[in-house]
Amino acid sequence: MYGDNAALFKQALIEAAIKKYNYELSQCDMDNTVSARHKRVMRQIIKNAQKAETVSIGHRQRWSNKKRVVAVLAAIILLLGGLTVYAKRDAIVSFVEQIFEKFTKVSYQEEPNNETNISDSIEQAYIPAYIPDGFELQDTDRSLTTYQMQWINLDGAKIVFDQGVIGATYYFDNEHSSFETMTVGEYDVYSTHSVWMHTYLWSDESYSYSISIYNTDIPFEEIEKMILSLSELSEKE
Amino acid sequence: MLAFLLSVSEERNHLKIEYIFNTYNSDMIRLAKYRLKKAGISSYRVDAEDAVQNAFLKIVKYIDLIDFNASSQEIKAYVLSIVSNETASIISSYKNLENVEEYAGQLADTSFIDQLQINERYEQVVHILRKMDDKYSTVLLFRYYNDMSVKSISELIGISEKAVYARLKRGKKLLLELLDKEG
Repeated sequence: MYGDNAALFKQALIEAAIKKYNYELSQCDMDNTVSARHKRVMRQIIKNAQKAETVSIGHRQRWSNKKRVVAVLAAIILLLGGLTVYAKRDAIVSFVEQIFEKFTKVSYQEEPNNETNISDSIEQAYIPAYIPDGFELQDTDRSLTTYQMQWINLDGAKIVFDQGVIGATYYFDNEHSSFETMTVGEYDVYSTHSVWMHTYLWSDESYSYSISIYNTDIPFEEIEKMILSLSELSEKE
Repeated sequence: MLAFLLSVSEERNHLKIEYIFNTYNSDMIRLAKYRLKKAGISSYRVDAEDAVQNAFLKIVKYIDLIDFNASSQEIKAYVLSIVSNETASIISSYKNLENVEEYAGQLADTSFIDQLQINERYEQVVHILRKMDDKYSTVLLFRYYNDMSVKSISELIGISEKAVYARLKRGKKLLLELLDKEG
């Protein structure tokens, strides 16, 4: 009896909190604009929350000899165990997926003998020209190695488009995610899906791209349109 | 598939942190601005950013407390409760309000839950909790919904453990008084 009542009280607490904040936000006439300083601070907080040896999205990872040895050993161990490290080799860029116990790490890497100089920075930004109905542009953010745009709709769903330099590393939680690959136009797209987020990754010979969807399920046909509508961003925009 | 074994609990947390930021950052900043402007703080825009930054640092520190199997609304309520406390701290600092709380014993949980008679008065309990000062409702939320220790609550919202005990006691007493008053 105590347990049931305690559970009901717990439910009442969260229900009251949800109703209180939803009401307040519905009455609130404040916008969500923030200063450049705040954006920098928040990015640093998120970055500091990662482990020191991880590489945040957009930073080019330079593989030391030690890491190359570790990666080779990992591949050998996995192969001896009957596994494979999936790698798709492009002439310039290769996709590497490494599956660990708790997470999967994927990255687009420059081929070691590549004679083309891949840029260390975003020299040309791209954007999806097509965005599903109901979404409005909320924010854009640009740094030397990343370009990001965010759209939201009235239900609080969000679409985030990221462009990064080759060498960007992405991490996905195994416990809550499923993974698949598909072809969209000329691109091989790697996707992950969890309760709260769907992410689609692909690259061309210059940059890596991702589209992440939060708090909603958008039909894949809409995602395809977004990927295929990728266009150069005019400097005026 | 076999896997390469690593100690990676922190690796998964950074995905959760990015999710929290991407999903709730907008509401966090809006709520902070709204509360601070309503309190008459002229520098509410700058202070709201400070409140959200501090709140986010605390969310990161206690990321394991968040149940990511819960609904988006429940996670949002937890996140905004932390922002609410940060804005309250800023408002207090401007108004030079001191945290003078007395600690004088606790109403035992079993007695409190029994007295609530919540299965008969659920809607009234929700109604009163909505109206209750955040000072009390948030500590009740962190204690009974998030199962946080008094020590963790004290670190999260930046008050002494004695003050947490005092707010829990006062919050429970207030809830019961208002329930009896409403009949």
